[in-house]
Amino acid sequence: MLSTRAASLGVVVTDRAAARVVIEQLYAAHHAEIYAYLSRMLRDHELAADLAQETFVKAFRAFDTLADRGRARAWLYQIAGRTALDELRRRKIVRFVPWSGESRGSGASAEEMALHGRLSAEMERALAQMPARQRQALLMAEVHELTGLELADALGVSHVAARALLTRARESLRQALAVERARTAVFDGRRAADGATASLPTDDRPGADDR
Amino acid sequence: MSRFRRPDPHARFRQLLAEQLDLPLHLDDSWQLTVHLSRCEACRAVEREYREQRRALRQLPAPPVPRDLWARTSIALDAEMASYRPGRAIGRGGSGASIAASLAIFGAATLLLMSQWPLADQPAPTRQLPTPFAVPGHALAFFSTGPQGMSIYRTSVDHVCPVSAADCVNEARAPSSLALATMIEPSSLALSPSGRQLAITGRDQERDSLFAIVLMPEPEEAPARTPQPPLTPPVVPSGEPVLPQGSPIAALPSLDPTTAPGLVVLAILEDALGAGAPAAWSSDGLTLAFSAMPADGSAGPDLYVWRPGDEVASRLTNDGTTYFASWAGSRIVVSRMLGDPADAVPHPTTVVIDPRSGEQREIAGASLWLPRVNLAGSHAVAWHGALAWRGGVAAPDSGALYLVDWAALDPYADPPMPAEGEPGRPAPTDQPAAKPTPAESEPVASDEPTDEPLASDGAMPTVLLTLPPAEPIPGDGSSEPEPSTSPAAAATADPGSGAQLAPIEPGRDPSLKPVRDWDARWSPDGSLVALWVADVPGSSWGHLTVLTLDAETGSLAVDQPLLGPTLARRSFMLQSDRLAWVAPADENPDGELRVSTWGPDGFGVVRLQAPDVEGEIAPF
Repeated sequence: MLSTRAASLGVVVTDRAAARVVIEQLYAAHHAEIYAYLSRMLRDHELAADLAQETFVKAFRAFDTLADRGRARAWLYQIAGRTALDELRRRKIVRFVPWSGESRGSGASAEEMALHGRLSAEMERALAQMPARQRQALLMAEVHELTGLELADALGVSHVAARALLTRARESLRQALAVERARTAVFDGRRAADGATASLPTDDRPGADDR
Repeated sequence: MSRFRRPDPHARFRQLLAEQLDLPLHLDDSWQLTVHLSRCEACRAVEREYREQRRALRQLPAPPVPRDLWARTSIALDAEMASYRPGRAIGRGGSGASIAASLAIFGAATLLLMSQWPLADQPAPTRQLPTPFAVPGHALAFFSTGPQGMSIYRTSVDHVCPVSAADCVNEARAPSSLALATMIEPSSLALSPSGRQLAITGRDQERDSLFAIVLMPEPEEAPARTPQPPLTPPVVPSGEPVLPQGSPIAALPSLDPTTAPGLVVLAILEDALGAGAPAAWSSDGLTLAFSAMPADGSAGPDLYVWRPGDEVASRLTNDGTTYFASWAGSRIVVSRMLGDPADAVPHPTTVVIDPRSGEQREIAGASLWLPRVNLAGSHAVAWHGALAWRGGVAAPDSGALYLVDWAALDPYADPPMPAEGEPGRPAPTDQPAAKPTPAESEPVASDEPTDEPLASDGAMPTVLLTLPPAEPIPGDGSSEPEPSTSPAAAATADPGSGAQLAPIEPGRDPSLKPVRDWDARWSPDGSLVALWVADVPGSSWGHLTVLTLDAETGSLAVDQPLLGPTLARRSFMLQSDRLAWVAPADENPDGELRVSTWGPDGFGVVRLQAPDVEGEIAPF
């Protein structure tokens, strides 16, 4: 029975229809986290939706590379991650979070941000300053809670290399967060002094995503 | 001043702090870190920052998924499948042709019907479930080809759960079941409105094609059931039971199929292959209609009817080019090929046949394929486009589905009143057909070929629908057709007649993504239509959508589907307040039965699982 073979994935899947069935099952199980992962990687919801769609189409095309359904999640993250990196490299995406004027301790702003499911501006800008590869590792491990083996699978590296990358990512984020908090403090000080619509100059350091 | 930067003595400890978030440190490293932290405030701050960082990341709410993400992904997957070429095989082997053939067989066993017969009293074993709510009860039955052979199961659904309750499962672990004495691999099922006859098209254990009737017992004739221990009733948060006794959310009592008496199976046509739309009963349940052709391919398809009491099905046509489409009131709608059967491209026309008199009226100019008319006779869903010969029968090649204003096309809609006493006066389409007398129930057509042209009396309407001839995809079908030949672009309503021919999927470009396999079923009140569409002929899976027909405008709310599109097996059944269908399931690669409902209490859904039923589900 073809669909049985498709679903078990331990045996050869011989037709497109059966492959599609499995891909749609994977979509049902993982589309939300794949979309969220891409949104956080790219910081562009519309682009993330495009790439989430592309991820599942690529998964369909590459279905025969999935030999073990137990690794399907990491496999999808690997496809999504590569798709995101390709897009970042292709577009040289360096997006900067618009300064919304929020400052630490602003309860309303925090609530609003929580409602919209977004990172705090500081965290988002800090993540933006990280090398994309490190950001991938950190998001997969901390936000999407991939296990060590899944992380290695998704990154396409050894378990040791994945851990090393994650360690570097934590330190990069810590340092980037410190910079962002310092900048926020400077801005708060200026606004208090000017009492008007001061705007924080965007950081135009290029190539953060290309490292 | 030295040219060399002194190494940061804290760097190693920051690394250890980061590493210990993922895995326990080696004992030596752990001891050294503890000692260092005890005397280094900066590193203790780093430790706090790492933990805050982790907490902040893990508390991030997920961004809402765009509502159209599935639709666009599905479309992209459709396009990917449509652009498939044999050289771009997915997987590791298997030709497209053999795959399609295999799928056709595999997909045959997933069938869905719904009946209205009353159920015998049932005990109320239940399981812990999300808070369900009541909906009008409907009987549901399904056909299974599990390890115990072939069985027919009966259950009912009168409670469903909110759609947000993803795990709302009705584990019908022991639905009432009836063993089928004869092994048949079905390709379609049609249950009569009375629930007494189940028409099966398929293959028997000898792999011979046949049409058969299963004579179903009255519900009260069902054998006694094995009592089941009661299960824990579901509870609402307050702890109050919410399901009444006898709720079909609970499992039905058990009946071992192997101990059940075999049902009587009557072969009404053997060594014949189905063609056209699946067999269907007239609304009064007195006539089954279908089209079939000799299994050896010696002739093309013709229309057959069977009535309770008949030993075998009777052939109504003898032209070898007639494909059953649907019932329109008491008459039968067929698609018939024009021209020489040897033509490279088949061209259809639409004919309405009165099975009692044998009268046939052609709808000139309506090159529709297998129009499915609703019970009200107001509208139909039809495929329009370029047909191709596939396996000796006409099949969709490049085209799409359209909504048709059937009332404007029906050649029997406004017949002239014949003189009093004149025979052959057709019955109005909005009246149920009278129960035929024994004489009337005899087949009216003989096996002799009839050279008479289609009836064309004064009642036949003029051309109501003018459609440019649909062009086939040039070549082998792999190349793209010219835009000007796109059926969607060509198909327009005839402004003179006002007949409607509206594309059902406006965003679908049939030239790029033709509908090559489909089914359509109307709800009994004609207000809803469920469409199942596949891009691959013979596919067992396709996309199912339920659309609402606006009675005032006569249009389908294609932009606001009631349900779907969703991946579903070929078999489904639509009622006015629910849809029964087979959805993909992790637990069963053949899918699981679901019932989605809508009504004053909103949308509901229930997944029906029968753990003792393995393998292919063929519900009805």
